[in-house]
Amino acid sequence: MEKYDRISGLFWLFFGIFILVGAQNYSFGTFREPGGGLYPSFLGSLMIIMAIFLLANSGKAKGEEGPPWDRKGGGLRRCLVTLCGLLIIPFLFHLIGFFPTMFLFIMFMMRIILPLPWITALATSVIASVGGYFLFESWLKIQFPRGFLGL
Amino acid sequence: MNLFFCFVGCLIGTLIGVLPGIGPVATLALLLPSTFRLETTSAIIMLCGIYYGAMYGGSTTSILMNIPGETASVVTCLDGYQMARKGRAGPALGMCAFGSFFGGTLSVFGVIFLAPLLSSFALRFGAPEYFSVMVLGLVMVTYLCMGSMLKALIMTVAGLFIAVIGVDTITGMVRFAGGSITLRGGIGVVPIAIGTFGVAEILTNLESASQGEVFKARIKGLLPSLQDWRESAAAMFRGTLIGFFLGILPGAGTIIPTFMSYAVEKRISKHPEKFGTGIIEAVAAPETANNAATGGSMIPLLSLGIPTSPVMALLLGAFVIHGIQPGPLLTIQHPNLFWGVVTSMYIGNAMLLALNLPLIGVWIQVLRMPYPILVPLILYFCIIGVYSLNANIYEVLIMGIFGLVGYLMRKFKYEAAPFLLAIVLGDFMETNFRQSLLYSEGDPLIFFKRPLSAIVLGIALVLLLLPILRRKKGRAWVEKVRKQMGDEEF
Repeated sequence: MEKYDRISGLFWLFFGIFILVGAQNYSFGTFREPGGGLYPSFLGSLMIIMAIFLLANSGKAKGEEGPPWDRKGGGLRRCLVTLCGLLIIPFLFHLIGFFPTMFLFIMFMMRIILPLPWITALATSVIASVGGYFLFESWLKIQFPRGFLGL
Repeated sequence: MNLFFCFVGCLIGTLIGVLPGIGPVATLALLLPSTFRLETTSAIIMLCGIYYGAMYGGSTTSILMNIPGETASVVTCLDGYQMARKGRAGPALGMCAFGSFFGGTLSVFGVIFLAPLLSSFALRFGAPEYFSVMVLGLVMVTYLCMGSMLKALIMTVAGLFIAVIGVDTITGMVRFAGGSITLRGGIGVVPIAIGTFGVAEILTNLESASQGEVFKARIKGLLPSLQDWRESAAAMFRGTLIGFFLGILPGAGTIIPTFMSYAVEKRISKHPEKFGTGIIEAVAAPETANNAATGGSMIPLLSLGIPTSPVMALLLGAFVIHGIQPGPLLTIQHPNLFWGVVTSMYIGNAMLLALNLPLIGVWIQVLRMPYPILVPLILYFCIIGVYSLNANIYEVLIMGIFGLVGYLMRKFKYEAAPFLLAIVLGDFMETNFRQSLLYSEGDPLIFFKRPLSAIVLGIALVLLLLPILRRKKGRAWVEKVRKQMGDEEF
């Protein structure tokens, strides 16, 4: 855990520096008339101090077990692939439409990540996307993006 | 109509509580956008119903699968599952339902008497007092976190910074938006909550790919026996008191009251060695405590406008989205809303008692649904929930990013609760901080010159220093023992 505390400590240190430097773009003001930069400057300074404490104390985590990463069992792969999917699909909404994208995403999850039979994946994807269309767009009148097919 | 939404909330909440893998926070965040079209009272009633429904439902999976349906039901696994193995799943489930009803109902009376009292006291609060109370709230949340307090404080400051992104409410300038139109409006609490709690939970479960076995024997006799009632009555009463008063404290949530209640019962029991083997009072007490805590946690939210847990933070978000600021003026400006919510808490408890007992068979069938089918559907609803807020695809991206953040937080042992609470309170805190400086003409000691603010900040400071003092005391004790025993022996 020591290594992970050091990594996170460094991250927070740079994050605190980023906040402090960024806050200089806004007027600090005075205590009588505090500007928009006062509060973030204070937060950035606090973050830097706490990050230094974390780095200094990271040695106390020696011997403590680090986080388990399931590399061999494929667990980490499942996570990363799902995450990539979640980060990519927003850009597909305007291209192919919201519900077609979700149909493909559910199929992808059920076939590639959690291997389920084709028929289960297809049935679930169809029911979820069509059901979602009727529930959210038709009934609750939420407007979802449509793609080039108009769906 | 409100009765209908109370019922819908209770039903959905119980379903969510029964299903492991998604908790009340993610569910509330997910369903929050669907309440926009409802009238404010109905929306809040439904969301509250989801919250205590989840408390009821969580015990079902704990008893039948030895997997907590939501985090507050962890303790119920200890004796509940053992009771199921002994063929007493029915009385365990029944006692959970009755205990939850008992704790939830008595806590409603506590809310009725204490909330207006606290509201009238809080009318004396000014900006310095509000700022100090929020500081105390955040410090308490970090103090009560399971892991490292330093890491919890870091998450608090990170959350306060996230709240800074967007338009400054006092000067109107845009801060840390990087030219992004989405970030100009700030980062909403819903995508962050769904990401850090819902998506992160799914990613963690995908990695471990764990799935419990449902207890297969037939469940008979849901009503506890007279002997069960005799053994549990006092435990339920103690659980109610512990749950209610701890629920009021920021950071306690529902987990700490359940653990505390279990620990107290074990401590005072004539047969503590039987705890963990499947005894009824060890199931009744924590389940009563977690429902009593839901009532207790409503008091600071309704009276002061200060959330004490991520769930309350989302309820606060719901109030604000509907244009209502909870606080001391809530009972005066919106009495229908306040009393409607309080009444629904009692009616919801009665509905849940009626739902849980006859529908046990239905919940068991739900539990048998394979988790690989549920996962994509949960993500699907998460995406719809986030998108439907502002019809902004970038908020779905934010949800995904915070899903990664939440996943890494779990790996690196950082807690999400202080982070989310700080995001919700951040804007109010900064506003009150700057207003205090404006009123005091630049005197930063205003927070210590006003007596109430000074007391509250003093308590916060003590809580911050306690872990350091304890460590020093511990080291001093070790040194004393070392000197007495001689260095070689030590």
